[in-house]
Amino acid sequence: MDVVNSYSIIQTIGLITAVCGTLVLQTAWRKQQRTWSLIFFGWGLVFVSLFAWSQTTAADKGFALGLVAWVVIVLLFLVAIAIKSPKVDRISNRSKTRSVRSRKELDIKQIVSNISAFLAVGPLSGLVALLMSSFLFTLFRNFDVEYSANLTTASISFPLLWAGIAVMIGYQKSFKYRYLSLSIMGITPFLGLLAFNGSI
Amino acid sequence: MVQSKNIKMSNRKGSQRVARSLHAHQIVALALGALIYILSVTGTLSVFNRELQRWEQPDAPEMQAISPQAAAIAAKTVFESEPKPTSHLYINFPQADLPRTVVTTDTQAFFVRADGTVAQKEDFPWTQFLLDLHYYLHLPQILGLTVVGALGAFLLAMSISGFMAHPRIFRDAFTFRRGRGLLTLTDLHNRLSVWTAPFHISNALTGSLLGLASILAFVIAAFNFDGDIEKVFAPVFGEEPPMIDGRAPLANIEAPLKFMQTEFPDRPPTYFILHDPATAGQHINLIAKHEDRLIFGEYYNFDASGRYKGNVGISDGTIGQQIIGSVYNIHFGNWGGLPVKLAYGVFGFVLSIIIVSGLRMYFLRRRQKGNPAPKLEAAWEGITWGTISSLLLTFLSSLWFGFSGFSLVATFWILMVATPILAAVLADYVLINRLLRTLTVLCLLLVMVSYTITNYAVVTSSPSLSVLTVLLICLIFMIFSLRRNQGMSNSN
Repeated sequence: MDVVNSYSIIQTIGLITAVCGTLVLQTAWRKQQRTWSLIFFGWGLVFVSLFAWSQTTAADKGFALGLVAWVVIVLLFLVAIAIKSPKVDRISNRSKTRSVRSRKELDIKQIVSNISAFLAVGPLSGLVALLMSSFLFTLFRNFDVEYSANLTTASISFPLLWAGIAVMIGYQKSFKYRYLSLSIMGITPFLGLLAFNGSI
Repeated sequence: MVQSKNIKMSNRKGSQRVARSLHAHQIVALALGALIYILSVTGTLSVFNRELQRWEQPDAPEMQAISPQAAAIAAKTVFESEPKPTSHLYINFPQADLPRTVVTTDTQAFFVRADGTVAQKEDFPWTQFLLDLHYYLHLPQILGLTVVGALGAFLLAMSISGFMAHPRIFRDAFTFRRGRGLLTLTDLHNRLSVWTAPFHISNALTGSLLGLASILAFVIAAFNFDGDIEKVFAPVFGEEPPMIDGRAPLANIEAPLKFMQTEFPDRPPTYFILHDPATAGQHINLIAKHEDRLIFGEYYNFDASGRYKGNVGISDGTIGQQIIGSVYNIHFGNWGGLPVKLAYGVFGFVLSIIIVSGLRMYFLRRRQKGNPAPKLEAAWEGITWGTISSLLLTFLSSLWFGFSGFSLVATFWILMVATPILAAVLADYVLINRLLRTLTVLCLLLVMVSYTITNYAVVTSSPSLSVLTVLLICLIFMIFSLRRNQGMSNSN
């Protein structure tokens, strides 16, 4: 059997296990009680599918191909579910709209609060994430961590930290707590950077 | 008694967590939803930028491959035609999705025929406008990249907060209720968000990584390399040798290409870069494709005489080099041929639906609570359909009036500012939705007819025909959905 044929067979196995895995997960979802055995089996089949795909070419590209194929399969499942689901009459189920409440005067306090929330979630969280990831890079560099791995870690951690901090800050209701957390999270790595730089 | 109290407490905590996560989700969505939506739509189209380039300039010479000799002759011809010496000379080699050879200098780019003669100038103003919109939002380069990268980070933040606000994520995994207003919209938003998460999280992460790299390098360089940004990336992408003054004959362009053909026949060159041509320090990078990998390619280095000096290590170097080398392809979906591109197109379309449905849910909920925001809702509708119709209108202005560069940028942003403002003034989202969808149908029709008239000689060629077919499918779908909505509103 030539190589191309064996790759096609493995790809087919990958496709079949992805479809079966999704079917098993859907069956588990249909049951009234949570059936862990089915859930694990479903996910197990999905992982087998990804593993099979990773064997069809270099592991990185194969795994990515498997993931793309699986998401496409799931989307097809969702389309089928959407088509199958009974359509309820729009008129009888039209969402009820409550009568319009009287409008308040333009609330300056609310506007200021929204602007401050956006500043905290946006540029300030970004600045803190930037300082943190630069600090991580500098720290690992001082521990002689391999350069490209260190740079990759810093590059990936910057957006992830920004997103994480933004969510955490947006989650807080208190204005003071928001800015206090940001200040602590920002000043610590900044001082660390200055210390490594010999400025302190 | 104690147990029921504990359950009540944990339920309250749970609903508090959901409410707060939704609050975080909403802050970002309301503030930046429009820009993220524009990036999502333009990103989806950018996946097919090579097909669009071919469509926009269908009469350029095409070939499956070009001989090293012909490529060298063409590069030399273009180089010698330059009034001022160029600092770099590039050759783009034909690839499956863009079977064209282009020689580029600092100031101009020409197509090349298979025999090495130089053909017309490269000119695809609308596709370039689209790419610049997606890469930089038409802002100055570093600022634009950073803003786009930040928007990627916010998309990540929305994914995180969305998951946190969704405690029934697995229990609702396959739920979809049709025709139930807010419930249907919520199901659509949540199901698509959860199941396509691998795509939109990886795309947001790689996009923000690409966009934020410059600003991160700036800070890292300031604290570690005395502000020298090149030193940050040199160990990953290779170091640029110092410029050596003094003239020299143009480097041997043919030798490296022949070397690749004989030594690495399974790694087709995609890009040739001659640094500081015709100077004493000139040197060559050749980027070759590794078909079985996610990386964009590997740099093969040569000296001016065409002697091989080794590779940089994107394909076989450190793990960091290999990961960073894969980021671009993972983001743009050009690593698995047409099937992967089509899948990316679908995922991009789904991401746009997720963004639109999310904000529609917000406005519908406000209406149901008796706290509607008709102006804002109409403005959002203006952005949703205004983005698509503005993109089509800019294409028409390029086709009819020869708009390019700044005039295309100005047209797009004037339309993008005017549409939501006008929509807010009218404050009727249903009317705006219908008007803009009708405008989109008209624009689609005009694009197809105008393109066919302008390029009638090549309209049956494969790139023209495939894009026209996709446009026709979109047109039929749009007309069908408009008529269905019309029918529903009449019966209601």
